[in-house]
Amino acid sequence: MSPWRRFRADRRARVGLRVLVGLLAAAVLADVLASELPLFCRVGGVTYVLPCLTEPAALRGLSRQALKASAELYVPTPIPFGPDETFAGTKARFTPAPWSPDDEHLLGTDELGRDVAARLVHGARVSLWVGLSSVALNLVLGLWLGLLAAWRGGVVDAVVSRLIEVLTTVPTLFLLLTLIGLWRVQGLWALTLVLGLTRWGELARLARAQGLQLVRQDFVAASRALGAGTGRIIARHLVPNVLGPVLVSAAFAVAAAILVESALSFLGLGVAPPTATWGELLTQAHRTLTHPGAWWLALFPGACIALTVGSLHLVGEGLRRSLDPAA
Amino acid sequence: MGRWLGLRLLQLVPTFLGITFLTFLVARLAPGDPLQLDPDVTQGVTGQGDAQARFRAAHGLDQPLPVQYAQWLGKVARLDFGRSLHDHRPVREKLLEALPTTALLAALALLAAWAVAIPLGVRAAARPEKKGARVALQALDVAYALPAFWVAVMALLWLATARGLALFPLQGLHSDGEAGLGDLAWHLVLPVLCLTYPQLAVAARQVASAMREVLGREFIRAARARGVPEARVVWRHGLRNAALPLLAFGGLSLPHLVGGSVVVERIFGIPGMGLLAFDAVAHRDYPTVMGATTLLSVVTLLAMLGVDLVSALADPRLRAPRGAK
Repeated sequence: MSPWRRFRADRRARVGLRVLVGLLAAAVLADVLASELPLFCRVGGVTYVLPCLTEPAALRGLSRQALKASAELYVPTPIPFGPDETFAGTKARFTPAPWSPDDEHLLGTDELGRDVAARLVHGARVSLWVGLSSVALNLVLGLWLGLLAAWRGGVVDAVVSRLIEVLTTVPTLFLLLTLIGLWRVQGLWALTLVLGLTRWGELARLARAQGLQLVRQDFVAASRALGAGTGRIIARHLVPNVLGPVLVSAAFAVAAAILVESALSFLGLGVAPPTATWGELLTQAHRTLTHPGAWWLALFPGACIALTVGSLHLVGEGLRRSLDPAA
Repeated sequence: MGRWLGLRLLQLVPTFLGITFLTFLVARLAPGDPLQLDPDVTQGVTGQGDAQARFRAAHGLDQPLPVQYAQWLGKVARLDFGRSLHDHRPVREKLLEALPTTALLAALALLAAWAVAIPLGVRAAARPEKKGARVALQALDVAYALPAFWVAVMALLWLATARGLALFPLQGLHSDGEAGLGDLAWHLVLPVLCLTYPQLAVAARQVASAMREVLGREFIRAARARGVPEARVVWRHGLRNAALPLLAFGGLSLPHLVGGSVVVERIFGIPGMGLLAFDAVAHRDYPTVMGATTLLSVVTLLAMLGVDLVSALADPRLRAPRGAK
């Protein structure tokens, strides 16, 4: 059986993959799932399709109530709140926010009266984007440098090996704390870049170890004898042969990167507010810990992170089992 | 053995230089001037260009970067990390106050991880037909997926505040006016727990796979054939031979344990290296940040060397020069 067939036959891996695809879909469709603007509406004879995506200028000045009152047709998004909308509900509230879950805010609101469900959906973008793209960068760097070290040996190997050792010895969060805190890195791209450039050590170590076993084999010598250069040998002969185990590791690395991202935003060093992130919601939960105890602020974002990390693990384990049936 | 150790120590030199260089670059090339950013510093030296120049000269900030690096490295070699830009205390003093706390946390967490992972992993490997250990391993996987800071906040909420059970203290390492070991242990329970559990899933799997590999070997079959009791086969013959991968795992998990202390120390208000570095970053206190990262990396490096050393003592094959085939 091919690895892919084995992977599809693996029930736990399938569950993990489905949850992951669902989360990705939520992240991609966040603007359609949760927005202050409706899915469809007709105002004064003009029909707007998906104004939540297009944000037409004609609707921009109107408040939600005014829009709802003047619209002939109004179909709201499944979660009828934007992630940054404060105190948007229509119910009379007699206590200060955060408000616990009710029929208006299904998962409650945060300290500023923002809908938790809307923020979770939009926060999925940050977590998944940072996790996936930073590890993609790790993969490129780790595969290339690890295999280059294995292939070239000598000085290149020594330099890359020391570099790997440096990156894997410096405690990750300390390096990130310093980098992000002192450099005031606050954007999504910058955070991705920082994680992508600092966390490739483990992948490179694995690629190098696998590569060292390959470079002595005949097919590598043969392609070299045929005149293939370093780039071609690495890209065409070494990478496909080490990709399996490295991908398994990468799946776990995405999970770890998502945990690191959420820990950073928990420490106030993640993507700058008011961008919705899962870690930021948990920070609020920590702040409100001593007095009323806003359990919904802690439970739902925590569950989202756990679900993402857990499903990545199932996928990683499934990949491992399907690539190495003996294990 | 001496030759092996010498080579291994020599290998540490470039790694050490790499770590210090990385730390130095990251901290010193960061945008922003400590003089303009920290109100506590500027209060003493406001306005006058002369006073600012004196401040720069006093902290060596007027030199070119390579010179600053060389000077800083020279001082680091003498364990002199300069003075904090924030409270003007020697950084070494601050570091030495914080290091034992973090080292204690990391060591306890590692021991706790082993204490849970070894029995579980061995059982899962020795009796694969039993369900208990397998279910426990899966439970650990679920636990791994929970972010540590979330678990810490939940533990505080339900076990330390008046809303929950109020079994454990909220913050710090000591109650007021208490200095006993019992009090310290009581304060350490939750932090160590939060630092340990993310390691458990990986640790238990490592133990299980190492044991599975060993238990499949010939000498185990021979021991069983000789009539050695099964418990002795597993715990003596088996575990001893699986000990090396476990040691290696301990070495590799140290950076994670130390890194995790940032979050745990911040939540539980424990005055260790993590909290120190976090506060120093908030105050843009370069000397302290650089000192903390360097010292921790070096300690981690030495701990990993220690692990290698123990492994090499236990297994002569590892002492063979790396190039030998």
